[in-house]
Amino acid sequence: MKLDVNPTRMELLRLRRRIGLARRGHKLLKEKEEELMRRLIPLTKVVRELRRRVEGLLREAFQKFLIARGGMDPEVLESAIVHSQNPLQVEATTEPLLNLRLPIFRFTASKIQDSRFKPSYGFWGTSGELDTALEEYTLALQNLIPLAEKEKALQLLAGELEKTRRRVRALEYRLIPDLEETTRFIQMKLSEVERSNLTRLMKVKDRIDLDHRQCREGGDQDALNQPAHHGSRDRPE
Amino acid sequence: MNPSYDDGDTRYAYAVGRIRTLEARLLDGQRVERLVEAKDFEETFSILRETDYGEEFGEERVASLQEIEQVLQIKREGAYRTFTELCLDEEVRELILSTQDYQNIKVLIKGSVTGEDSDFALSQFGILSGEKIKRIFKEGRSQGFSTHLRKAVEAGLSYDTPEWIDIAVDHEMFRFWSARAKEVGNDFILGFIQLILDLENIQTFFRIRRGEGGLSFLEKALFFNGWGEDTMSLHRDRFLKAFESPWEGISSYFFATPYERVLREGGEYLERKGSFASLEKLCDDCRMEYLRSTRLMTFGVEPVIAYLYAKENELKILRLVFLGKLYGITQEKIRERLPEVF
Repeated sequence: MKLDVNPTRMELLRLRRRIGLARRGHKLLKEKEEELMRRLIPLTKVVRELRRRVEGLLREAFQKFLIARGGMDPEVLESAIVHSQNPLQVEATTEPLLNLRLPIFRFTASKIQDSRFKPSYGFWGTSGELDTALEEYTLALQNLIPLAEKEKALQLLAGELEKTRRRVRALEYRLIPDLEETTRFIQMKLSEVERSNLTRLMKVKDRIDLDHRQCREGGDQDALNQPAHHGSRDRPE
Repeated sequence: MNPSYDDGDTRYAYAVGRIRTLEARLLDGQRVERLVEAKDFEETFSILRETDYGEEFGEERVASLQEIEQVLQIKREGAYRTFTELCLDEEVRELILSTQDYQNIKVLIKGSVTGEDSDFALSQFGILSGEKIKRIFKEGRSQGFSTHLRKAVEAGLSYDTPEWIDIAVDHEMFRFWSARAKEVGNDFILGFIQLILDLENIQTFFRIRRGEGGLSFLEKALFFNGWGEDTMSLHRDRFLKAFESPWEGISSYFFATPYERVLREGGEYLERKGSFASLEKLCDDCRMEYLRSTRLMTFGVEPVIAYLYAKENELKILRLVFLGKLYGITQEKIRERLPEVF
């Protein structure tokens, strides 16, 4: 669609500059889209694998916990769990990628990092199944934090990719064609003005030539000195 | 304690008669099997409609796990009330119910050490109510406790980590139990405490062996042997020797003891599937088998004690079945952990 602009040479120059800029932007955005895509695909695989693992671990842990819960007195279970000495601290920072800030989660002060989970309760009245359930939960948590990090990164990358793709499409199918069309229109308009000027000048020249010819044919030297009829008002008598 | 249990304590004639009626209302194996095989939650309700739980579960007024827990807690309360009412010997009553007091002591000490409010985990079934024990503890009036509870408080307060507080208080509890059982002089009670101690040590042995802590931790965590080598009780040295042994060889250290099968089968299952379900089931079954011997007794406190534990066992079965049905645990998995009925 042609833009609503004045078909002047200035506008043409301005539009040409805009086209150049749009093409450069398109190229850069296209490269960004490719880079985002290049990072997104392996990350999707990692997230899918991590999620499958976490879901499996959580399912197993939950089943074990239910069995432990069934075999224990409710108050013993509550007192065993509520006084946990395994606090979890996660440090959240960010890492720049393109124009994004991807999250980084790191365990800072936690026994969760240890391969074996040490229960914060005694043995009497508690179930061994509770130990294994909490171990499974710990294992799930070790994977859950990286999963959260990766899923958030994936979400941000996917959002950015969508935005970039929209911009690329807008440049490719809308802005650049519109600017080109407008440029073509202005060029045509300017050519037309050029042609019309040329025609006018040719007409003037023909007229002058005609007057000269008439003078020569009449043999009157004075007539030759006489100004042309249409220019008589400009000349002094 | 007078009169001697062995002579046939006729004071318990009424109590035993009442217990026999209550025992008849306990869920039998067939019904438990039907419960396990029930295809959904509603079917378990319809099976329970024919039992002692008909009033609570019959009209399907109970829908959530929280409501089920409430019903089970009411039934538990009823069992403890029956026990308190029918147990005529204060020493025995104190011995059996003290486990709840020790539980409350642990909750309060851990709460004061970690700063976590855990009053909701206080048990109401002890000799002292949860509220009373909390008041005495918070006021720092340890003289308000009986000597054995005071010792447990002192032992617990000398540690600052929840697991060691638990272990210290539990050790005091078993010390009290063994002393009180000897004092009472009832063979059934002595044997029962011994059985509980052995089974706890077996489970602790496998749990530490599987986890971290090593031999030194096991040495500290194992309950002392209150009876020595002259009894059938398992001496802690057996566990210490068997600790480093591969699982196939463990049962040989317990050869010709009543627990050989528990150790062999439970240990094998643990090694194969990484689950304590079988070991815990076998331990529960051992307890039930011992308690079943009271069925032949006409007089005495033994059937009263057995009923309390049988009811606790039944509530455990129901909790497992309900959890299984509610969260889609397979019948196989439920059966693996389901203890035998009384």
